[in-house]
Amino acid sequence: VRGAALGILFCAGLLLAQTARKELVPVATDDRIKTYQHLLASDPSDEHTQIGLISAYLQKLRESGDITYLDRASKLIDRMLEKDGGNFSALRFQNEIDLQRHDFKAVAERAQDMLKYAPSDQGTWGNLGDAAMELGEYTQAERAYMKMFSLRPNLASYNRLAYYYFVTGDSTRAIQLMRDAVDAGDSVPENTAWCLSELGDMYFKTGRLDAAEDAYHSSLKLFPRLHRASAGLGRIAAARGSIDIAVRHYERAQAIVPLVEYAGALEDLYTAAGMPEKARQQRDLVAAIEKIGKVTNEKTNRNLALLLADHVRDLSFALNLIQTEIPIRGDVYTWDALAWVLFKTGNLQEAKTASAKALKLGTPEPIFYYHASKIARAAGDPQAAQEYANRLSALNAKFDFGKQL
Amino acid sequence: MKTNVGRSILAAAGFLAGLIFNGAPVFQLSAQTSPKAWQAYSGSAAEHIRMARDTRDVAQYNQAESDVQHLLQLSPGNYDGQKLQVAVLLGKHEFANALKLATELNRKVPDDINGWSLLVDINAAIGAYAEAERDAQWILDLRPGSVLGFEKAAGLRELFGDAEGAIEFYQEAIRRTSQNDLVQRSWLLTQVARLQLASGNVKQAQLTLDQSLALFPSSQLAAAVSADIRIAEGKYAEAAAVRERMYRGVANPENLYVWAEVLEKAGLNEQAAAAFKDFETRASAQMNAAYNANQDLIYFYTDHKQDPAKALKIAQREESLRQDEGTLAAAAWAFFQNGKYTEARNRMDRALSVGIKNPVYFCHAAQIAAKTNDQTALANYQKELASFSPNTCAANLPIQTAKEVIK
Repeated sequence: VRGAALGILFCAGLLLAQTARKELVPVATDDRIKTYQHLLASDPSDEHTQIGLISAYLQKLRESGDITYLDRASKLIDRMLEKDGGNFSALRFQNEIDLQRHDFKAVAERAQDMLKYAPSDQGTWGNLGDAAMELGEYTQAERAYMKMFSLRPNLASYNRLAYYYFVTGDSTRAIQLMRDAVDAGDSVPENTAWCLSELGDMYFKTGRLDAAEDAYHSSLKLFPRLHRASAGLGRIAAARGSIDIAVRHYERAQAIVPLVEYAGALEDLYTAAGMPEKARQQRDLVAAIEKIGKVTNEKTNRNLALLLADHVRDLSFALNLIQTEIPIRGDVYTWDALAWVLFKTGNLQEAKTASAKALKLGTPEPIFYYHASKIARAAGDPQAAQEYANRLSALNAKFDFGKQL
Repeated sequence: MKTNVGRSILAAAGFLAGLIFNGAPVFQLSAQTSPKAWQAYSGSAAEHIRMARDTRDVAQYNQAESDVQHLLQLSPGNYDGQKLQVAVLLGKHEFANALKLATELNRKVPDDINGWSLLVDINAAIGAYAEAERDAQWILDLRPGSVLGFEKAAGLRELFGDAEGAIEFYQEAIRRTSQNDLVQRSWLLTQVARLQLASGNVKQAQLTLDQSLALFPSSQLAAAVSADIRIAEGKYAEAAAVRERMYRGVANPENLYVWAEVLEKAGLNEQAAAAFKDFETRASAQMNAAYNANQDLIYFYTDHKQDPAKALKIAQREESLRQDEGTLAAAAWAFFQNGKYTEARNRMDRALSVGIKNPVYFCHAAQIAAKTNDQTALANYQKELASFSPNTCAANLPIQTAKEVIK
């Protein structure tokens, strides 16, 4: 059934395309997946159904964080590209998947090829810029994002330019552009909520806690399941010393998507609140994530490496994770993580070099200056340590409950 | 009698939301100041198409067409340009070409919801409702929660007779539309006001329309609904004044015809006669063009000039091009006025099978049923008519008791 309308199928309660009216309704992602799978079984080459199923898998990935949906989508894309290597929709999906898998070089190369044929495709310019940002190719990222913006100033292009300016040290411009992204809005509320949450992060990192709180609340009003906005509120509460409130926000974020960084934050908060058993549960959760990573031969995981370093656990594994990541993700965030893991493993000189690379753009990230200050002090450079501490204070010294100088 | 106030509900402009920012052309540089940038032509074409959705002024489509031609010269095969080209073709009622190009684009990029939305509009315009429904469902499936999905599905829900469901989706779309996109928010509010009015909630319709006009005071579409509200309140002179302003703003035959009808209702018979005469001349002149006022011309010949033969000739021409509910209902009425009741019945049944709840259709359908001696159908249509204003159908229908109607 080519291009069958799911609403029709479900209202009939049968996987048959019956004529039925007045039912046009949004269909739950799980139901979409079931139906597309069924339709594809009867006609495996139907391109519309394949696109529908890939889109449903990726939506499910966003909703659940379950990485297996990425693999399922990937298999389908491979099938489409085997049949027609130039299928533009399939190539766009492939970029999305490779970005998730951190295969940034592949995305950059593919996007450049695609742009030869479709120079006005804003999404592909965005993919190219995203990949370049992760690779630490900031000049190329700027060029791609500017091109994207010139094609169409909208939420997607404002958002990316804002991120670029933040990373490259211009927080004032970044915040203004992120506000523009929010004002531009998007037909999918989740996207506007995402920008509000990023705006909240920028405010928080530059010490404007009240503005950050407003932005996170606005974000959750628009899309209540945006876990990163809940986590943002948790960070603010922790910075204000309201541990109970911080715990509540982080628990909510973790209930939506159990990211390793939420487990790390909760472990610290439970410990501070005198709840050792709950803190241990979070530690166990991180250990389980680590174990799964080892079993599945996970090569990179920047956030896990940082968390292990923070808590001085399994440092050799952490070092291995981050050293493997650097060649494929050379951005300032990865250099900072490497610096921190090197510091914790006693490689002070290498840590200093990596930290300098993290700081080269002047990114207003409190954590960079916290790490740099600790490293400089340990390396016997109290003057540099104090300078970094001053920079941290000028931003937000209470950026992380567990990290106070 | 004008039958389809909301015929523009599926006009292709919703997909332009991403091209418009702050209710103004996206690109600061206009096509005039930066003639070499295809993006400037894209922004300009998008704005003209959006204005055409509000004004139904075909001149806007002509300007958009010129922009698209420049755009495609500067950037041959440009995907955005081709989508704009489809919107122009649709706006100018070149349905076959629009469908062909939209289908090609959809094959190339099947995950683009804007491409699907163009297919919704085209298929609805030609009466391919099952296809339109399928296309709208694709938008809802590919981008759950998108404004475009709710907007397109709302338009179809209305056509399928689910006014409440349509209002629900338009309100969802409003909730999700940027506060800064004043024109789009106003357009969505106007759709809600129009549906509230159609369901007899005049007061609520006025309140909603006030919100719409606050965002976009010069909206022609909102002015049209404002005139309809005045008519519902029996304030025909006020409605005529609004309609005259609209006609002075966009002097097309469609606006002239509606103005003439309101003048007649207001008892301004001399002015109405002059306006109808002018309408006949102007609508007849463009009768064979793709974009025309032929539906109005059909009703003019059946209801005002009493020349049913001319009406039927035009109706048959239109039927050969599109089979949407509006065309079928107009053809049914033309056949009826020519004494061809079976043919009339066939068309009206097909028009109503879409599900649309239009009191004028029910009024005509009841008269056709009476002539074909179908008492059951007659009773059903009278029952439908009972839910509208008693003045909706002035036809001298066989009188039924309330008990009979209920039965």
